[in-house]
Formats: sequence, C-alpha cells, structure tokens
Amino acid sequence: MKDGRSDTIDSTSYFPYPKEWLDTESEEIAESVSKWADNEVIANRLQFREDFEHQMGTLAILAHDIGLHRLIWPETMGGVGFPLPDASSTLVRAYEEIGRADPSIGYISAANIALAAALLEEGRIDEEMKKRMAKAFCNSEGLALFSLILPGLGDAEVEPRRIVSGREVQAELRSDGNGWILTAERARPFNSGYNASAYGVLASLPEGFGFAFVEADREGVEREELLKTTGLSASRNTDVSFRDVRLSGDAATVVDESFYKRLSAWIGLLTGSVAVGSAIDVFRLVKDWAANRVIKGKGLLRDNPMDAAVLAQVAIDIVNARLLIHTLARAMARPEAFGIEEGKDIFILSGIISVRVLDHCMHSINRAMEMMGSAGYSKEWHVEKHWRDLKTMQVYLGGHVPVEMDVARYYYGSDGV
Amino acid sequence: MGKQFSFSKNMTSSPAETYIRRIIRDWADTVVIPVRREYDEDWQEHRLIEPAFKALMVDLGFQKALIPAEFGGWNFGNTDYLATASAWMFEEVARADSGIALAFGVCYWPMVMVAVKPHINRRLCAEFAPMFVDRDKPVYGVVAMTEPQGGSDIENLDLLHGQTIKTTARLDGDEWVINGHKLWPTNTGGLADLFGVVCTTKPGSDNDEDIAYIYVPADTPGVTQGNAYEKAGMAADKNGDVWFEDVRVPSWYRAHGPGLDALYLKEVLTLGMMSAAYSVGPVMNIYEILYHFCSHKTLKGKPLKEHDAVAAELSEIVTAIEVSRAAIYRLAMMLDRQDRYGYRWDPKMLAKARLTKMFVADRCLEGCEKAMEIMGAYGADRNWDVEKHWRDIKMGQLYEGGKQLAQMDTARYYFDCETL
Repeated sequence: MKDGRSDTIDSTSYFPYPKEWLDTESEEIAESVSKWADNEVIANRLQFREDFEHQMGTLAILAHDIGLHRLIWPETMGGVGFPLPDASSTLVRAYEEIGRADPSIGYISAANIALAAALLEEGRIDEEMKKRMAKAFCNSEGLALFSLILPGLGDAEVEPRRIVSGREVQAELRSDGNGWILTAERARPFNSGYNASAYGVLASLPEGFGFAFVEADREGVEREELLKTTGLSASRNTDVSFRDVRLSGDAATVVDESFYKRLSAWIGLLTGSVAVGSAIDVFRLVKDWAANRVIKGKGLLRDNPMDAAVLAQVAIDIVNARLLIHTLARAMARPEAFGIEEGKDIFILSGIISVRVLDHCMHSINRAMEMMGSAGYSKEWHVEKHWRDLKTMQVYLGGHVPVEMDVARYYYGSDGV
Repeated sequence: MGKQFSFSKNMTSSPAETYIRRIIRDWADTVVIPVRREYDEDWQEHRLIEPAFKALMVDLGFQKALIPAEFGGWNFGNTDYLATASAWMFEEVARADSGIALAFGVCYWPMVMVAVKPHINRRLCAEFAPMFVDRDKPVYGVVAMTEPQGGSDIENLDLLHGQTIKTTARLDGDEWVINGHKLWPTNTGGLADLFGVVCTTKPGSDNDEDIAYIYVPADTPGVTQGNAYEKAGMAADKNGDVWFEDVRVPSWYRAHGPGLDALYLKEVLTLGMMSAAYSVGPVMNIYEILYHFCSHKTLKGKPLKEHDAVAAELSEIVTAIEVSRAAIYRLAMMLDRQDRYGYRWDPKMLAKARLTKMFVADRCLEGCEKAMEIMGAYGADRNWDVEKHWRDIKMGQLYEGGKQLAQMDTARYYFDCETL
C-alpha cells in the first residue's frame, strides 16, 4: 500500500486485495484494461459521457483489441481459453478497471461475459449452441451485444408467467415441431435492450425453464422507444416484446433453475467489481479535490478531523468492498476451499456479497459527494456520474429485498417468500 | 395517478393554508407534473421551466408573498406564520419539482433582510418591492454568499465572523464599490435580477460589524453572470459564477449597517433551513407514485403492497415523510413564535434549524432510495419520475453548507463548544 500523500493514484496499490489469487498473466490483462481506462475513457470523459457511438467504439476496443470478450471462450471456439471458474479473479481485476473508467461500459460488458460464463458452465447446453454464441463473442467484425431478459424485471401491468427463485419470469417458450416459439410482452431487459444485436432470454417452459438466443432483427421482435434512465448511459434500454418469435431448434435449449442461479452469481461478481472500480475512481477524485482545499481560512480540509473522518469512510468502504468481491471470486473458483456447494450456495453467497459491495460503494460515493458539496453534484467532476450509474445498477440488480428472501429461504427454510 | 398525499391542516397555520395549497396543487398537477420529465434537457434554455415558473410566480402571484402589504405584497414577512407558510408552500411546489421550489424560495430569500418584521427597511422595500409586485415576468432573487475558496466558511458565522470573506465593499462617497467572485448561488447562470451580496468592509476582519449585506441589481455595470453549471439534477435551479468588478451602488443599499447586517444574516440562514421542505415534497409525490405502482404490480398473484417484506419498506417511506413533516412544522412553529422560543438569529434557533434540515434531507433521500429499489428497473426509469426526485433531493444534503457545517452549528449550541 502506498503513502496517501503521493500524487499519483494506482488503484492496485491503495486498496489491498489478495494478489496470490492472480497470476502474472491476469495482472497483465488488468494492466491492459487499466491503460484502456486511462487513455480511451478517463482522458476524454466530457466527450465520452454523451457520445454513444464513441462509447461503443471504446467497448469494441476492450472486447476485441484487448480481447476481453474472447477471454473465457475455449481456444477451439476462437477464444483465449482462460478456464472457468478459475478466471473469476482475473475478471474481477479487469472489471474493477473498467468500472474505474465508466460503470456503464462495465455493466453491459459484465452482462455479456456473465452470460458467456453461465453458458460455458451449463452442462445441458449442447456444443452447437455454444459455438454459435462463441462466434458472436469472438468475431472481431463488429461488436456483438447481447441483451439479457431475466426474471424479476417485468412490466408492472403484465401478468407473470412463472416464478424462479422468487422472481417472475418475463418470457414464455414452447416447442413447435423442430423449433421453438418465444413470447413476451413488454419485457424489461437487464441491459442494452434498445440496441442489442441479440437477446439472451431466460423463459418459462410448460415444465421448467429454457434459454433462448434471439437475433434482434428476427420477425416478431419489437422494441419500444429508447428509455431515459438515471444512469448507465451506454446501456441504452427499452421494453421489448417477442410476439410469437419462431426460433430454430438449436436457438433454444432446456435448462433448469441452476442456470439462472449461475448466471446471477456471475452477474453479481462482475457488476460488484465494476462498482468497486467506480468507487476507487471517486476516491481519486475526492482526494484530488481535497488536496488543496483550505477551510476556516487556514488548514487543509483533509487535516480537519471531522472532514478527515468522512474522507476515511470513503476509503474504508472501498477496502471492505474490494476484499469482499475478491473473496467471492475465489469462492467461485474454489468452492471446496470455502466449504460450500457450487451452484446453489454460490448463488446465495454472490447475492449477499454483491448487495453488500454495492451498499459499500454507494455509501462511499455518497460520503464523497457530501464532502465535495456542489462540486460533487456538478457534472464536470464526474463524481455524480458514478453515483447515478451505481444507483441504476443497484436497482436493476433488484436491490435488497429479493436477496433477503433468497437468504431467508436458504438459511431458515422460509417457505413462499 | 390516483391517490394523492393528504395535506392535513397544520395547527399553527394561517386560514389561507388550505386555499393556497389547493392552488399550488392544481398548478403542480396541470402545469409541471405532466412535463417535468423533460426538464433535464431544459437545464440551459428553460423553455419549459420558465413558463411553469411564471405561472406560479406571476400569474398566481407567489412572488409577492413575502413583500409587506403596504408595498403591494401578500405580507407574509409581516405575519406570525412566515415560516409555517413557507413550509407548506415549499413542500407543495417541491411535490411537483424540487428545483422550482428552490428557485421559488430563493427568489424572496434576499428580501428577508429587509422585508421581515421586526426589521423592515421601508426605504429598501420601496426601492425593490416593485420588482416583485409590478412585473409581468418572474423576478429572480439571489443571496450571493459562497465563494470559490472555503466553500461554506462564509455561512460559518458564529466561528469565523466573516474572516474568510473575500468579496469586498469599499465606501466611496455615497456609493459602495464591490469587488469579488461568488460561486454557485441559486438563480444565477444568467437568471438573476437582484443580488443580496455578502461581503466585508475590512478583509480579514473577524468583527461582525465588518460584515456587510448589500443589494445589487443584476443590471448594474460590473456585474457578470457566468453560464450555468450542468448538474446531476435540479434543472430548474440554475447555478453559476458571478463576478462583481468595481460595482457601484448607493450607500443606502446596505441592508441595515454594521453589526445588524451580520445579525440578520443569521436569520436569513435560519429561515433558509426551511429548505427541508424541498426534500419532503418530492417524497410525498413518490408516495403517490408508489401507491399506484405497488397496487398494480403483482408478485405471485397479489399486489406488491400486499407482500409483507415490501410493506415493511413502504412503511419506512411513509414514516420518513410523516416524521420529516412533523419536524419541519415543529421548527416552523418555533421560528414563528419568536416571543416564546427566541429570535431567529439566535445560535439556538440556527442549531435547531440546521439539525432539522440535516435530518429531513437524510431521511427523505433514504425514502427515495427505498422507493427506487421497490420499483426495480422502473425506479431508474425517467417515465416514473421517482429517479428524478432522487437526483434532485440529493442536492438537499449538500447546499447551505452541507452536513458537516450543520453538525458543527448543532454541536456548538448543544454542547457549548468553543473552538469548532
């Protein structure tokens, strides 16, 4: 750890994390992403925050040139071949760096990689479907962007179809000869619903659940107007209806509840990492702001005990959040070392940790804004963007109550909650 | 939307309360609420915001509220219900839009120095009241206080006594010559019509007698308003830099003179804490939105509000509203009954006002956050307005010196601290 009075910020040095869980190659990947963050995003922030095309171009550099979206796919499918679930710590470091730059880029990339990870780990998904998905992720011609249609985000006025882990499933899948038919009314995507090239849809079947891969230009896919949201500007969203969309036999498959739980666990890990990176950038900003701030006509603000206490809380939350998210990564990679069962236990642990990590990061950013006053609220300092982005992420993840119900079911056997 | 938050009449209020609340609620429901989700894009031009503000301030006449009756106003500053009336006006306006409520409140904030009993300055009222009562467009009043360095130091009057004020006022014959740079006052960014400028007649002095409060019409030569800052929310509240360069105004534009300017400036700060109502109004509106959402959104075949875990969160939100309102109206009652509780410029009343605003701002923001979570993705969706309220009232925690200054003023009074 570095002396807090140094002028430069190296996020890997300020806040401790278990380096022994990352190999040299993983740190090199994180370093590449870190340079991308500094050069492609942070250096051009005023332009970046408003320009969607620029955001997508920057994401393409991350996905293709740095190769993040190829990372976990097997080499036989065109990927880099980082094995799952060992890649969890590597991904955490990478997504911390992305979050430091722009949480909205991190969010949509995290959704895509979480989907890839859950598919690769799902034994019931056949090789053809995986190859089809790998082609989209590993193809450097254009940016494939998947939008997730998950349980728990549906329209207030639309009747639910089925419940999975206490959450309403938005879409319905049924077999039709050799293919499938997908229906959903005004489903609210988790990410990128407005401009995705394809949708990854978790849908109910007459018995159980299915996962469907749906190209956005397929007949029957209807997107509504672009939504204006609190934050996560790169994740342009809208409600999407699937009106009897016909799919080929290899475009959908039967899965069980564990697929949703695995996908949720990866989403929790990666979005939590983005949140940690975001808070680390806010730390840098408030540290810069406080460095020369004189109060009461004399001493520096940071040397005033009351203000120092607030600044301390900004850092304390980040330390806690970072240690938690790296612990979750390790638990996903080595469940046996934690005495937990891969699958349902990880789902619970990821829910608990990701909610707490988001809480820590939001608290950290809120305290930084409190300290900076109007500077924290004005767009030129960028703190408010991190604040809006993380709050948006928090509500799209469902907040506290669904996870509390998961925990109650798991730890107390609470029934029907 | 359906069910509205009930405004139970306040025990200490005026007979006009119900009538005026209904007028504001009608304005809110017809003029602001249908279009307020477009306000964010309107932060620079105010093409939508300005007509809404004019409807409130000019067409309905609210910019006359503070001005004494003898000068054509509604006389609120000359009554025993100024703070209480401010609270219910502010919360009703803020129910529609917290930024408009802030702009509204600040419009007459600078006139508190001279238009509120027992220290009405009739010469200055006669000079400036026509701006408020005779114009066919809104008048934007500004208290120009904060400066680039030191943030809320100027508002820390009981410790620093103006020692850090950099904006100077020099008497030259029968004119004040003002120089300085003010940062972030509400109603600036090109809007301002009239400034109440907090300045010093002796830079570096910690004597209250050297603190001056001087009125400066915005069209006075030497006054420059910078562009508005782009912010997370509060589009109706424009904030920018203001420069005063050899600005000359008549000597009698100083509010009251040595000692009294500093004294009544504390009252301006104390009454400013009625801004707590800017935070509670939006959460009242969120209650209305949530009522609809949780009655229609179903989970497992029954409305969301019928699920115990959700109901517990809903309970927290209405608790935040009702306890905040109780705190605000208790404070307002104390500020209105100076005969019983002491003058508004007393450190005791400033402490009580600060802690109320600090408590309400925190609770209301928590209420907003809970509402967003209950609504899930729709909580971050502009179409439902909840996220707008959340972004707006975050500002309530930050302005007027923010939380830390509030903590210092509070601790200083309650624990007799001598060096904070």
